[in-house]
Amino acid sequence: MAARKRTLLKVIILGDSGVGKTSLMNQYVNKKFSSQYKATIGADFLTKEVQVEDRSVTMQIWDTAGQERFQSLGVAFYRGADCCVLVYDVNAQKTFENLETWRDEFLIQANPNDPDNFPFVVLGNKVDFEGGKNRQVVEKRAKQWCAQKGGIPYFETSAKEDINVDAAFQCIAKNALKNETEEEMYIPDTVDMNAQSAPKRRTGCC
Amino acid sequence: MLHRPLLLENLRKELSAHLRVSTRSGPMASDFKAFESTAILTVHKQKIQDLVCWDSRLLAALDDGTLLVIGRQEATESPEGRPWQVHRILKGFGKKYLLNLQVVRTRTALLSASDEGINLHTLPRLQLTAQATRTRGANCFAWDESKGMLAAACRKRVQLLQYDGRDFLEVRELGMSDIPLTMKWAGDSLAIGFKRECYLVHSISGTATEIIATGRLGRPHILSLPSAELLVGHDNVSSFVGHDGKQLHKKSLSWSEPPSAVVYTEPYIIAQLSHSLQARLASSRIMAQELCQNLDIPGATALTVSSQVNGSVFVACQAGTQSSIHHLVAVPLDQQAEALADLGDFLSALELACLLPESQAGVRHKLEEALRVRYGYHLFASDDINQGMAQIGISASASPLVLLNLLPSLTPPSVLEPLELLLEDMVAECKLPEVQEPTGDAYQAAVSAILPYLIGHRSRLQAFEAPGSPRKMQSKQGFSQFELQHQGSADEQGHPVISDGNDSLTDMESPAGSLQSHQLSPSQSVLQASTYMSGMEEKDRSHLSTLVDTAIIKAMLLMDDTGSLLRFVQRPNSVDLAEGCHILRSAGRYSELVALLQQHAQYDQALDLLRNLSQDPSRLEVPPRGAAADLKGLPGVWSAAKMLAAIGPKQLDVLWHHARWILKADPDHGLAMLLEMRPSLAPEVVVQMLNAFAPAFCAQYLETAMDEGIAKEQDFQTELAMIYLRLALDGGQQHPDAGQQGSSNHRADTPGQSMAHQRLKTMILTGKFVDHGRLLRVVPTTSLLEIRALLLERLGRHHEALRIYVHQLDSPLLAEEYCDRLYEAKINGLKANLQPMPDTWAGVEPEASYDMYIALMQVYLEADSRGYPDRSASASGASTSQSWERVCQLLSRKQDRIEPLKALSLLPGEVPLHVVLPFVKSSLRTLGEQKRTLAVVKGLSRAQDLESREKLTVCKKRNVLLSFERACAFCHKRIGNTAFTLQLIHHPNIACIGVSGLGAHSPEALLESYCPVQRSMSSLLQEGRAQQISLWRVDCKCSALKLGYFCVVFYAVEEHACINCRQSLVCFKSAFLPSDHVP
Repeated sequence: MAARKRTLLKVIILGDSGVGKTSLMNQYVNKKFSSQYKATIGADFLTKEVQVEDRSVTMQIWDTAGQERFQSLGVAFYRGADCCVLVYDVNAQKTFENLETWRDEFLIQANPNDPDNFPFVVLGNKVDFEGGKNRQVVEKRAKQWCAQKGGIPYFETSAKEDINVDAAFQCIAKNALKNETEEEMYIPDTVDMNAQSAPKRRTGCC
Repeated sequence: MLHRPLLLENLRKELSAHLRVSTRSGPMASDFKAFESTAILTVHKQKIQDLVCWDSRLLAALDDGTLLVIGRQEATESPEGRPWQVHRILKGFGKKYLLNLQVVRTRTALLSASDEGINLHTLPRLQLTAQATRTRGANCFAWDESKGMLAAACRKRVQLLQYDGRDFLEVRELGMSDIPLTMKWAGDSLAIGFKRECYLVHSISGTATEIIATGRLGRPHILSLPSAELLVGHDNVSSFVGHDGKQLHKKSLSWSEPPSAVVYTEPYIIAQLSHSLQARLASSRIMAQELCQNLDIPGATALTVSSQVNGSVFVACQAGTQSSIHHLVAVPLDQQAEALADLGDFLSALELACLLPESQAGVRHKLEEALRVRYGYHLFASDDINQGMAQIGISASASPLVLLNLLPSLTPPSVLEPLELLLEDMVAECKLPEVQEPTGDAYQAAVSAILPYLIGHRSRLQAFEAPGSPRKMQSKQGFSQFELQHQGSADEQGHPVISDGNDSLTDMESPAGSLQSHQLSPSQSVLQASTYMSGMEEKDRSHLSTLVDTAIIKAMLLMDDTGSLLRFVQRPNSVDLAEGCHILRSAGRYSELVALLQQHAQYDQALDLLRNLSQDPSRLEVPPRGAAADLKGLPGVWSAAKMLAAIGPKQLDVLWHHARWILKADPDHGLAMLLEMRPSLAPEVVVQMLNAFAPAFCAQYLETAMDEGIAKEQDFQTELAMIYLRLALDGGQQHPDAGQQGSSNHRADTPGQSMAHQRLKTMILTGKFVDHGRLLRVVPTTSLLEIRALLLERLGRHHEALRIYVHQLDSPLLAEEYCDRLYEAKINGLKANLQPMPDTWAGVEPEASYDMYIALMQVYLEADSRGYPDRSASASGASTSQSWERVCQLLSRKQDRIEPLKALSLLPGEVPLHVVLPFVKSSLRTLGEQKRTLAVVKGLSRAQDLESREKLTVCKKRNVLLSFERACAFCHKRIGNTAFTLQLIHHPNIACIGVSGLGAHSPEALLESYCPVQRSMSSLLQEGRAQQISLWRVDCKCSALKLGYFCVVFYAVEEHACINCRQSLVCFKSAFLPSDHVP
């Protein structure tokens, strides 16, 4: 009996309180948005089936509380993550500056095998807010930061107007899957150097 | 090239099989049954070449050209159980042989390929209706029902014939390079399998495209699938190909040997192999190659899918000389899935569950949920804990019970007990296996994996119970949520399907700015509806919350201490108190225990624990760990103080119980605690408490409390003064040698005492609410004389006060200052014409204060007559002269303040004159001076008076004339000469009214006051009073004033004003008055 490829991806959403983590998730999965703010208590997750490159995978998205008093639960949540989504509010400079902290925090707590290549995705949320009049972080600056950190994909989103949300999560799924694939490829590589780069579908039978 | 990937696959397989050796303990999936097979009929000797279904009948072509019509026996009771039998035997249907059959459904006809070519027979009568020309010797054909097009392959050519309802008309002929072995229509093209390859040949242009190179083994096979796909077989692999000839998926099906034929019955493809049949999923969702049933039916020669009995397949086979027909009945998909799950192949089971049609959505959902949970259990048991948890997490109906069942050590039996039935139900429903709880590192890993899910469940439970959460919507929503999830999963593009079952009411208190407050709030955690909650009773939900929270603390205890446990218990939680206490206590996590107790309002216990922690940690059975280790000593006290302050005054008994040790251990924090309580603690209680436990801090408390307005000054000033007094006295007792020495010696006391002394003094002098009498009763007569004197002063007992200054304190200076103070206060009071003296001065009689100096004199002189203990009697002579001297010095210093006659009369006769002389002289001089000054003042006053009078006269000289041209101020009617009548009336008290201001009275009042008089007017006039002042009524018929106007006429000054509008209206000199009105 051949082992099947794992089809579950664990994604963590991090960012300051109030940048719209829960809203992004809710928009992505339920296509719903409410401008009423309610702080997330503790954490919750949601699962969604996604099609990535001809594969159907289940994405488990963990939404954690941005407020500091819940953060010490981090270790439990971050472990085994396949991708980490960092969210900030383009209208609040501070939330952008804190991305660094969130990233470091995640890497320390989750302790992934290859921290330099661990997939992150950065989302600059609330681009719709007041038509961008109060924008404090310009796109260039965010992109610069992402480039410095090893080319993190960057998306400007609006959970409210559903701008770029699907695209962002599609990218998240893809990157998470890439991370997983690379890990799995490690075993066959030692056996056969001619293994094709695309994972071969298993054709074995009983 | 072909073998390398296979090798790789094998290696991988081995590796993963090795890794997962423990995971597959049950029977292999090959035991799984998608179809049940039953032999329905045996036909002797002949081989069945082909088999087709028509209506409820089977048509079998035998190799000798015979056609059999097979059906169920008639006239038996149960239609399903009826055995099959041969209804008709048509020998020579094909002259020598029959190859293929195909039913033309639209025309209820049968196409058959025999040695005579391709014939069309009617059904059910099987009469020949048409023959396709030039098809003799055709070895295969393909019929396109929609176009009515027949393609027949005869040797190396393919004949295309159009059927017009009566005959087959030749359309085209296509030449082939090889003999077609199998052929299927694919749109306008024909997919043709040759010995070594498959081609797609366009039926019009004849262009051929190679689909795939077939292998060297066996015959190729081509199957047309309903999804406009072709399944093309080459060797033992079948690939999915589109009608354009392009391979659709990277995946393909591989059989254990090259199949001779394949059929499709949703969702399976059944391949006819030499020794068996194999059924594999045709699903294109994900790879499902493993899912395979081997049906042990050797020597299959033909198979067909029943059009009637859904999904069932009929197979003809030959074993030895005997041919038989088997009926394969599909096992319902959900049963298949269950069976797969039983076999441990959950992924396949889940995939099958997904294939359940939309009409069975409910079943599908339930099945899928249960499978997820089972799969999760399975993974968990196979040490893939994280994946296992995730699978259970996907199931919306899985309550935390299902998770916790995996780690029973996290759930104390007592907490689980009320939910045990539910758990049993759930275990039975999902057929959950017993899973051994892991140990060691695996246990640790399991606990850390379960924790996030428990917290997630907790969030959901909270959101569910929270006001405004869509509880009532839940059942409906649960369904829509699951639909959402599954439609989403079925959607190839990954686009979620919008469900609108989620709209629900949120808090009505939502800020006005929220534009879409009618929508679900994002954090209400029904992101993924947990459907189990709505199905539970409220009681069970609360039990569940308790269970989850209790398990969370147990789990957190097992993890590294990051402070999260403490934060958890500090927030509102539903941890089972008894269990929680036990767990935390036995782990030595007292800080968390205290927080838990506090959160559950067990303040007494919490504080007891803090006392132990801070005062005597060695008595605790388990040594403190974590944050509790730092609570020894003062930090513990601070925590306790903080807690008490937070509890506030509602728990007085707890406060009384614990204030003692807190105040003892750290009075400053204790005091701050008492002051910080909100709502503030009643000061009476605090004073009582402090008096009992920390008397030294009573004063400090009261001062702050009064500053902050917690305690009212009128209630506590005396109390505070008493406390100061006590403090000051304590010093006196401690230093007996200093006690009797008077105030100056107090300076040498401890700073606390001297401060208390000073504050007491200030309090007595300035405090508005000090009860001096009460204080006086407790002030000792021998010490704190200065205080006593002050008290007497405030009580107005000046003599006594002066006596203390003069005789006991021996301080004439102070005594004199005392008198000065009182005198000046009195004078200032008079000068400023202030309100009466402050209350405390009420006892001071005005005369007495003027005579303070006299009183002092008296006190001085008393010394002679009475003598005081501190004065030696033998030295009376000296003292007498001394006191005289003092008296006289006083007199001369304050002669301007002392009434000389009174003073002189007080002096005893034996006072030598020369002593008094300076006083008398200066007194006389002063008196003369005063007299002259007063005369001047009198003159000046008189002048002022005159001046004023003069001014008044000038002012009064205004003279307004009333002419007939003037108008009434109210009705603006000209007064004219007939507009009013004048009436002279007289008032007995008219002088009084006139002087005190007539305008102050309303016309009504005035009328009342004069009306009674009017009647007796003449008598008053006769008495002669009317000559002074008269009151006039001016009746101008003004509607605004019912009573008309009143004017006062001063005979002397002639000034008149309307008392209402103040406008000068009328001025009548007596001479103007009509004579008949004048008395």
